[in-house]
Amino acid sequence: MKLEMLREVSPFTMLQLETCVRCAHCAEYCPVYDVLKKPQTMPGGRVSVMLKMIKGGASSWFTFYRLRAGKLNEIENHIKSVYECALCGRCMAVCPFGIQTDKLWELFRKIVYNFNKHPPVLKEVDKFILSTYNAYGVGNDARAMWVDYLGLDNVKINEPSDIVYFVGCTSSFKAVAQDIAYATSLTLNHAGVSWTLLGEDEWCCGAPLLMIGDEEGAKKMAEHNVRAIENLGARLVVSACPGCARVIKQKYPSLIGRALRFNVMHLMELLDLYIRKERISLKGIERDSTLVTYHDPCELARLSGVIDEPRRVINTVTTSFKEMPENRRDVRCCGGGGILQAVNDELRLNIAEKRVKQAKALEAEILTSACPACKITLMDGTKKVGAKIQVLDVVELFARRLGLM
Amino acid sequence: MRLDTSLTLLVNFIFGTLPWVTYTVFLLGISLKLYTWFSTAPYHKTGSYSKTSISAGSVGLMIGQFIYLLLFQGRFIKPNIKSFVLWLMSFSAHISLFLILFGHLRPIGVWSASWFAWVASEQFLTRDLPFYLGWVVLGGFSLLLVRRVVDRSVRSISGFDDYFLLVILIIVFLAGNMMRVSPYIHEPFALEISPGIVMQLKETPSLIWLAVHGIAAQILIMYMPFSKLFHIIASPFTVLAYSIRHGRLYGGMKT
Repeated sequence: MKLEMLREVSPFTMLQLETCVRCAHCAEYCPVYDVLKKPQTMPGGRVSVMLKMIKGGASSWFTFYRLRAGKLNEIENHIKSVYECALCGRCMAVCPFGIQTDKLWELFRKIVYNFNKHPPVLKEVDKFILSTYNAYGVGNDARAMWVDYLGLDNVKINEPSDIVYFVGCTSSFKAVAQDIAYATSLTLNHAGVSWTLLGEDEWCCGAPLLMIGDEEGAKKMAEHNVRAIENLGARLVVSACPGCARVIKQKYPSLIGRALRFNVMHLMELLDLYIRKERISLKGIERDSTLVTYHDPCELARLSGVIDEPRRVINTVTTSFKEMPENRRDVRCCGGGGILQAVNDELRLNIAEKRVKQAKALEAEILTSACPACKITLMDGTKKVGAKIQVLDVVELFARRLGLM
Repeated sequence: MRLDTSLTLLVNFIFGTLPWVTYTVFLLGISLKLYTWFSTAPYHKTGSYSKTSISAGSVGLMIGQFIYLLLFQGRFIKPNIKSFVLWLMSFSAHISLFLILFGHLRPIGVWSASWFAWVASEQFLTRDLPFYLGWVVLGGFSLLLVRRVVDRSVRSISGFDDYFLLVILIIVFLAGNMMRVSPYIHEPFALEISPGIVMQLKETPSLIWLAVHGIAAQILIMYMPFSKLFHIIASPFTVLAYSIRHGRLYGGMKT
């Protein structure tokens, strides 16, 4: 049987897959395995599954195989485990051989998607993202409605500007995350920069599609978004969503086949830069002693390298900051990634519970993050644990202390 | 006398004839693997469209990360006790293993113990240290085998390959050390391991253990391209690729 999809498996991918010695060191750190304890959800176990799927005509421990002769039943037996992963990349951060597992899992999902074996719920999600251009399946013309709800004045929508604020689906459509968009807008106004929203011309960044495995769909989103941004002549795209920022910065060039004509930054990088350059005045800021802690979003810290910037921003507005355990590059995932909410919400909540308990043990009063998905997941986690911790995005905390909201 | 003759013949076969089979299987295995990867996977190539340039800080981070991961197995060095114990087992076994391999180069004349006279006596470097290191390797790999059997997580993803390799490794090092424990003759011994490459040993080891050592070691070499032992060849490449990404991500380039 010829399975053309397996042509996507590069020699370097094979090198990585065959370097795994199944030491199971990743098992100690994988948030999903920590909850489920199923071997196939352990990164080392998933590598074995992936190899079995790619190989054909040979037993599982023998390394010779015919690529493009993969076993379809191997995929069917393990579909759930392919998607029961937060794509947090922690397995990569603990792998003694530096195997870039995040890329392997993405490829694995792509293969499963191309066999049309992805879970029915993700088929639905994929379908509505492609038709509505957002991850929530509502009309994309409602994308900038939060501007009116929250009473923002003088916001430019789809007008030529230096900066495009790419809001992202979660901050655009989910009520609890719209405060992030609001705080970001107020902060950009406070900095006095020329910025615009894309409005309904902003389509899903493509991250959820890549998580499902639909690279073609993501390509379509990328081409549209790049065209929309470049038409406005923007030199910088800023997003408060690390997923959007990372996909635009790291994936769009290969998706569209050329370099971007604009820079991409996460909001924390821009805020930190503006504070250091004194573009944002900190006069009159209320630095109180409420105990604040910070959860590094995996997409931002581990996968994008933005680690010190949010901390510097937080420290401008508080006198009492305490680090979470398992932080920075080695952050423990909150469960909010990898489209886990759609695949196994209970798993997501169980992972979140463990993270919130760590914040609770610190006696933190405010748990901050810099990601809308993390905010929602951590809020769900605090409800589950019954912890009296306020969950805020860093930009919300910053805008509040600055007296902007 | 008859046994001695048979043993001598066996040793001659193991170190005279078998290596040709070993080298052939090893090279064919590696070649076939590479051929499979490159010929049947004409992969979809994505170009690099990065606009960033390399900074000195990034390069420093890349080099540091490469050394930290490859030489020190730094990923195991964590506050988590299980990780630390795993590091102790793995690091000590690997370092000792490579020192012992390095030691094998001395009797064929690549280096001389006198070069390291400033470190320790020749007697210690050529007789005592390899013996101690052999036990360290044995201990490390034995504990890794015990871990694989006892730890539920590791056991759940272990297959024949995982146990077989550890057992063979243990046999190689056990036989290697037994050569120094069991009675041997205090006479020089020359062992031709390849045409023109002769190991000049100061003492004649136990031929039975030498035979076991030679066969087991060559099984490992032959099996390497077909098993997870392949990580010995592959890991510098995976670590290098990760280190480049590490330097780019955390060295201020953030692409």
